[in-house]
Amino acid sequence: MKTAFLSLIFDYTPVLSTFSIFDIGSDKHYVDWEQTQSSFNREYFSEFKRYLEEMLHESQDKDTPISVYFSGFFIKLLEKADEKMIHEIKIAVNNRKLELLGGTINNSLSSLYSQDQFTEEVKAHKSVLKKVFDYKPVSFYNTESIYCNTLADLIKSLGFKRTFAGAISWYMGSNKKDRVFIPKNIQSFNILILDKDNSLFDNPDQKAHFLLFDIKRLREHKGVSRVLLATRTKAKIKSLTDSGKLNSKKLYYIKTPTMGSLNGKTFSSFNGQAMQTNTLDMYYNISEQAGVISDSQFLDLGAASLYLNLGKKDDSTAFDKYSNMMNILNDADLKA
Amino acid sequence: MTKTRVLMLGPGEPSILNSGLGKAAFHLADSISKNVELTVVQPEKLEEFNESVQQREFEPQHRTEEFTDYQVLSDIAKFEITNIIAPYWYLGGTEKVTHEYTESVVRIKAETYTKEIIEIVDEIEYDVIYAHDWLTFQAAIELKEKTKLPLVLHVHSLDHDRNPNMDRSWVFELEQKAFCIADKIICVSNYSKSIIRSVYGIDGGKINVIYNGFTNRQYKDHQSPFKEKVILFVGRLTNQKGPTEFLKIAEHVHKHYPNSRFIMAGDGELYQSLIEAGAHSRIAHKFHMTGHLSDDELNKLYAMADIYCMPSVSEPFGLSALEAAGAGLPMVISNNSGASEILEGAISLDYNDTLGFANEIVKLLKNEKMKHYYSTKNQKVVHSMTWKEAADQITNIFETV
Repeated sequence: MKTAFLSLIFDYTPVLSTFSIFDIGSDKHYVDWEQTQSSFNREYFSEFKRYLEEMLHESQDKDTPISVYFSGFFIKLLEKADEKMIHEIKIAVNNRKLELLGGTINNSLSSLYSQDQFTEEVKAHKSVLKKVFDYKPVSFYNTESIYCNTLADLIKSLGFKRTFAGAISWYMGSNKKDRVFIPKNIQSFNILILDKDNSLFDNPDQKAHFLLFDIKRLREHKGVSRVLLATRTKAKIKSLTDSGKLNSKKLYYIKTPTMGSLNGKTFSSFNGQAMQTNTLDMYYNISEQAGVISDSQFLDLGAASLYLNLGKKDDSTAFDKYSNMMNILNDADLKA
Repeated sequence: MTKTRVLMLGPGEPSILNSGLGKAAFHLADSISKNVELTVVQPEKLEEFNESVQQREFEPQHRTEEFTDYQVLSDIAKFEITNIIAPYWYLGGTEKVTHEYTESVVRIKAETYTKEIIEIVDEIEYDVIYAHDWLTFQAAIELKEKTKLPLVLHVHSLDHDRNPNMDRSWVFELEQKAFCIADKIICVSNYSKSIIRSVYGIDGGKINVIYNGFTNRQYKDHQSPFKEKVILFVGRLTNQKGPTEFLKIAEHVHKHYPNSRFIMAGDGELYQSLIEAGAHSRIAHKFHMTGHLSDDELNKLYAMADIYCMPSVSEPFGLSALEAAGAGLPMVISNNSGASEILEGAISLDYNDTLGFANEIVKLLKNEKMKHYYSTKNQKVVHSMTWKEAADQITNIFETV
């Protein structure tokens, strides 16, 4: 019987305010919270709520260990949309039925750009988990499972015991069946290698599978219960705490950042176009020049999903979005 | 004394679609109507070019009733511009589909508009035909041939200006034919007159230069939020206006004067390309593109700016340069413009002299006294220019033609 570890990712892309050149220097909010909340509520009650209910049901009633990452945005919006759900998640977490994953506050790309900003964002996320769920995470989900050696040191220093990373087939070579590795010189920290897909029979020698599902993938697989139903026929589902038992003590020594993205995204999906690189460079230059920026409005702009479509020429709004983002960043620059 | 009855074939209400032409025709009609009996025939709304003939209704408009409503601007500005034929916008359309096909569509729409004018004008009595720019020229030619009445053409912009690097089009041929048949041609600058003579081959004797008037804007007391000096470009984003030159100039200025920031205001077929070019530029973080702005927003922008830059490839008049002058902005502008003839305090250069433009802007940025000297000089000029004066000169032509 195989072993599977199931993690869920709940994030939400905010709607930015329309920010003209005349708004630079004003008190206008970067995120249009009214519109964001309204869109979120619509999607939450028509779809997301069911996934969360299934997650709670599976983890509590069926005693199935699940780990989950909630971005700061998702938590903030969920608090307003469904306070009861927050309460139920808190109970599940406190009863150790559900593990919460740490991460950056808004699922950002800061680990690629600024160690200081990354640290600040992880601390901000931990703070939200403590405040809302009274929980201290020990497993880490970095945005799109970005990983490299230096991150292992940093993530460990922030109080985590393990993090996810994408599989590099050529690097793993004959070790493909192993899924838990260690970074150089850090024996007490584990790297969990994600499956690229969910077909558990691809490699019969592979006994452990780390599976990650975001909302898009849950939609494709028709929800949490269906995913678990299919997984249970082939594997026993365990908690991430048990992953240490699979530690191969082998090195996963990756100098250059890698991305274990869901849905086939690559680094160039975020920074392959000039419009993307400009805005990302500007955002992280601001934080670099000003030192660490913990202002929540500034952190909101870090969400990786905001940069995903900026360079897409087939999106007719990409150009307006870019101008809008540049105005916002210029405002942030003035205020930094 | 009986007033001359003038039939004005207008370009439509001032809007994003006809920009300076619409504004000039609006002010001229307002002032001319005080001297003559004026009937304005124009598309009620420019988007009607995109509707079927049966659905359209063109009404002769006496300016005193309907042409004074400036509020219409805000309505027109909302329309889908890519599907509209308009005096300045037919070029954008030609790039979207095959040249031959689109050109014929534009031509059919223009011909339909001509038919509508002819039908409506049948019910109107007039002594002089007065037509503004190419869109009305076919109707003007047909009316001239039919009535033998004097034809006065008012040229705000030429196909040669709008297509500086392209072959002669059917619009060019239409303009040329109209110029040949016209009794008088009014153009807005000596620069424009020289093109009509040299490029279109028209006898200079029947061409009169009458500068537009100037309407002082309600410039805002709006503080720039930036610590840097702001260099401003205002205009349709088409090759004619030289926006790509502006981007190049901006890079040079920033290299020599890092405490500078650049704003490009306007919309047009090059909008997306320019955003992309701006994103690739090393001054991307200091280069803003606003898209289309309302009059109110434009007034704020003039108040925020320190220097105005107009590197137009060909600019018959250059209304925005006068507006910038009215706001007290010193400026570096293209030689190929009417504005450079009028504004004594404008520094003018060849439009493609990128380094020259940059150097002059940097000099102005570094010298407050020079800025003040030039801007004061220009302000005096623009405040002496009135639409009444232009209207009186035009009325003289109506009465003597």
